[in-house]
Amino acid sequence: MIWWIAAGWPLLLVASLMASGVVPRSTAERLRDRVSRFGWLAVVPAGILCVTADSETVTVAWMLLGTSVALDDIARPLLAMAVVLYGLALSFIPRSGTERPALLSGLVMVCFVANAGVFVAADLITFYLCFTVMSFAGYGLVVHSGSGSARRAGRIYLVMTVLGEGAVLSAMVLVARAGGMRLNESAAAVAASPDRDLIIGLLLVGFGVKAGTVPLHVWLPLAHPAAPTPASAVLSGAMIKAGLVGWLRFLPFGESEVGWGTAFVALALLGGFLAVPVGLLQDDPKVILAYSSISQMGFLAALVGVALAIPEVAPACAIAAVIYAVHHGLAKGVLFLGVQMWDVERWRRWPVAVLMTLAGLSVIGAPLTSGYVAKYGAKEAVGAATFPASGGIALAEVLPWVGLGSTLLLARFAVVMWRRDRAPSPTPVTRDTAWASAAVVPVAAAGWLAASHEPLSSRPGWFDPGTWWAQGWPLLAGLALAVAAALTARRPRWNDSRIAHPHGDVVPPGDVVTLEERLVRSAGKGLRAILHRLERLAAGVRSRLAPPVSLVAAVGRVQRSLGAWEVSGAVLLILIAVAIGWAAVNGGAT
Amino acid sequence: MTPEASVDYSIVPLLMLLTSLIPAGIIFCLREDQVRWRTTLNLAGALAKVGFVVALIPPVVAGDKLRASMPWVPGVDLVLVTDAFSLFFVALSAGLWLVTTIYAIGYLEGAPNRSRFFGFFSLCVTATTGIALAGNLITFLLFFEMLTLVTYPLVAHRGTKDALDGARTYLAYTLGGGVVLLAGVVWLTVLVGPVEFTAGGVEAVAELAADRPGVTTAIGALLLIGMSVKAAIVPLHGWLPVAMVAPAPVSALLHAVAVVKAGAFGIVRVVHDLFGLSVAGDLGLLPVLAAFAGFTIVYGSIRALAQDDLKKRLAYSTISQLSYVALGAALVAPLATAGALVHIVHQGMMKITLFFCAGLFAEVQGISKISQLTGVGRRMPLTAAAFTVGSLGMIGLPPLAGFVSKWPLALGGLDAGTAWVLPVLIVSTLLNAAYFLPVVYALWRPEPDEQATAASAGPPRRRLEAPAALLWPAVVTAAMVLFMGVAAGWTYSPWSLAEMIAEGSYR
Repeated sequence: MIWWIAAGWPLLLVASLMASGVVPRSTAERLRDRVSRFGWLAVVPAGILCVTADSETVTVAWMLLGTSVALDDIARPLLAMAVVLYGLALSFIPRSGTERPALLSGLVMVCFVANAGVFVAADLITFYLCFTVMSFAGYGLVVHSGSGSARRAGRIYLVMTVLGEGAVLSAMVLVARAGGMRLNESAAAVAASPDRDLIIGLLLVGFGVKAGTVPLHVWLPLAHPAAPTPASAVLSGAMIKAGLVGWLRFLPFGESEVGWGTAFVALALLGGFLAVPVGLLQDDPKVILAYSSISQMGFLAALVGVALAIPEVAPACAIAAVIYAVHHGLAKGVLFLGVQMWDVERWRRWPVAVLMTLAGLSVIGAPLTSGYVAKYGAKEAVGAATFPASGGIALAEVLPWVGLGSTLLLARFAVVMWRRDRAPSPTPVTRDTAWASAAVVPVAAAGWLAASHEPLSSRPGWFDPGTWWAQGWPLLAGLALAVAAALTARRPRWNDSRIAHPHGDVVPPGDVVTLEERLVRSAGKGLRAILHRLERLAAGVRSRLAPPVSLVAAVGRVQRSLGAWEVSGAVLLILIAVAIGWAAVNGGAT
Repeated sequence: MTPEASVDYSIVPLLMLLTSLIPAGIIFCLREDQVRWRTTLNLAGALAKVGFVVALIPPVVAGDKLRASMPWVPGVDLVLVTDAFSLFFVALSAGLWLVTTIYAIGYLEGAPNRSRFFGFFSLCVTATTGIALAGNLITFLLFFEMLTLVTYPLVAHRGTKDALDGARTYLAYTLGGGVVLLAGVVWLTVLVGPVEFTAGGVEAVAELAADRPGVTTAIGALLLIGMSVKAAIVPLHGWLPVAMVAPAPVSALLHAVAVVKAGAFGIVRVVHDLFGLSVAGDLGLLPVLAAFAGFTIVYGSIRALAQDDLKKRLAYSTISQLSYVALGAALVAPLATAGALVHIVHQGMMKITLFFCAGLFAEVQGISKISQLTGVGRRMPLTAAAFTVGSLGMIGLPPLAGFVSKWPLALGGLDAGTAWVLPVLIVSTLLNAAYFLPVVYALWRPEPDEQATAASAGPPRRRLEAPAALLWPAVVTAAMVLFMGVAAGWTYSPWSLAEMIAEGSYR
């Protein structure tokens, strides 16, 4: 029952928004205003569900090809994260500057239900359903503002989504065929399937699009700034985690897939590090945050790669990935919403700056933040794993360098934000307080998760100096670098440098997408040319096939000549002769 | 199609034919201005047929059949049977006939020659019902040919040069196909006598196949080629894109249930209930059929990409989507069979929605090109929403109906050991997305000068964006597309029924 309410209530609100199109205008406006103002209430039943429901699987046989959901160790923490993040985002919508807050609220609610569905799905069909709905509803978020850049971002988002969808669908069909309809059996089914490599490859591509894996990440830096701020918070915080969940659910962690593991780790580290320089060259805070997300998702993908390669550490890696996802979702959400806090909310500069710094430190993994717990857990889970991709060094030694990258990116983010003008206006205190607590509380949640979940069960000592140093040096080094860079950039001789003072034009947001766009465009042109030629060819064949002499006319000519008595008489005579001859020959036979 | 079914003699199948035949007869005699009579007759007939179907579903699901037969020429009976599969198809045609009738009444309001139109319209449905209920090959052929003939005046209805050309092409193709089919039927009947469709294949045909495989293969090929013309399988598809000159309700009916579906239905009947899957497989008919269907799926989608005329794009999309049915029928796997069967209904519901919407755009806004559709979503939100649902369904996105047919087809393809089916379906999905999403995108895209017009236009004059008789059918069918997807697991959903029917072919 609570499941129905949790899923149905937001959808009911969406339906009421849709219905507002047919009721009188004043009522409609009141309705829309209410729903967008109190939109955060949409997530409340799901929150209650998350706390109260047990972990049993609930099945609805009549829906689709059988629908089932369950709150397992992966689902529950992520659902909680989604509830908090979507609730915050929905409450930020009325002041986000969008012209149609009701439409945006409705879309975010649909995304919420679908996104939560991806987390809690217990069978493959439900998972795919939710994944698809979320992806396509996400398009609405990206293009919401209707500006030219939003439309371009939307186009690229859509193309990438459709391609990813094709890969995911193929993978889903193959998994189902292998007998993995229930998600808790899927991974084993994939492991036993003869098409194992194909499936893993398709999963890497299909979910990689969502999770921002290089080189499929191109939609991210375009979509996040194009979407209204609350929407980019959920895009970056919760929706890209759907790709991670896809991996966790379907990849055959029980097997030793060293080759694929290496591929994952290689792509992950590529994204984790390459995102940093590209992000540093941007000057839109949301683009910088998007690149930070790509870098962080690289970190997560590396965990997945390790789990794939080394069966013994797989369970710990999976839990570590979930905790990391929860931590990153909340911290990144707070940062994105912080952009709006900074721009228009009523609080003073300092408290906002302090809280955003806290969230930023958390992403970096500084002591006493949720990132501290999450990164420690990840390192513990990875253990002594080494990869050719990490240059023969233990992966645990490589991962902190991602933290260094994060520090640089967030320092750049801070600089850009600090220069932004503010236009504070009276806004509800409760919302801002909720945002503030979301910046602070995750550390407790992450700590509890890390301590309570087998088989990870390891939490860093809160005040252990060794761990402080291990987690803190990327921050210190990053800050030192950032300060040095800032001082260098101040020098007059760098005044005109586009690298010392980036405006996002050295490498455009979306980096390789410009190349890919060109490629697609020329491919499209080629395809059109082929089609054109095909059409001409078909027309040619048709005209050649058309009888040179019209059949009807020919029959007409025959008819006319038969009309003349000489001819018809002759034909008649011949026919009679033939008939008599035939009768003479066969006469006795019957 | 269940073997232990009880067969009762009954007049009901005959009555089901008469529900549209009688209105047709009377409508031909009506004067042009007797609108009320015509409307009443049409709707009464359509409702009566829906009533019959609803009443028949529970007993037929339970395994009872109703059978009506009458002698025709010596040795050959006309047989009408309500088995599960025929009822499945009748249900589709009855439901869609009802909504299309409403739509057509609205669409043709005030147009000339309405009595002729609705007369042939009813005849067309009679023929479709006959095809569905036909219990033997001869009866099937009879109604199949009747359908060809009565559709011609509908395609040519407008009487313009385009319409006449299109109708002539249509006639040339379908009559040609009819002749081939006739040859196949005659040949088979000469060899084994009249055959009644039986789930899993007719025994006499199986014996013939064992005796004279060459001849049986030839007969099978003739029958399938004859059907393939109507099912628009490449290279016999040429008539379909031309025939879309017909008025919107006709196109809707043509593409969703009447002509093309008769072909697809016939293919399933021949493969499953005449030859039986194993016999048809042994004769080598299935791989060939599957290959042609697979090629058509991709070819139709690629051709659809290049069309700017909305109806033409939909026509090529039909070519592509119909071959899903042929493909599923040609695969030896219960899931694929069920997928093929359910796609008969799902494709019908989705395509009729799309054609209704195309007609609405043309009628209300005067738009027939995709490039002109920009911003229409703001002016006609309900129509655009219905079109969006139909398109997303065609792409095969859950939770819409299209997904419920594509998923089992793909799985069944793998089950049957034909792995190439999966890439074909995926490519088709991507191509579907590539030619439908731009239309949807254009619909919802705001016009550049929208602010200006919105400011000056003031409150809208009408509450509804289009005449109700045109709008509601589209909305209802769109809702059905959603419902058939979401509630696919329900006992009486098309999917559950299709699964049940498919089982019959594997016993």
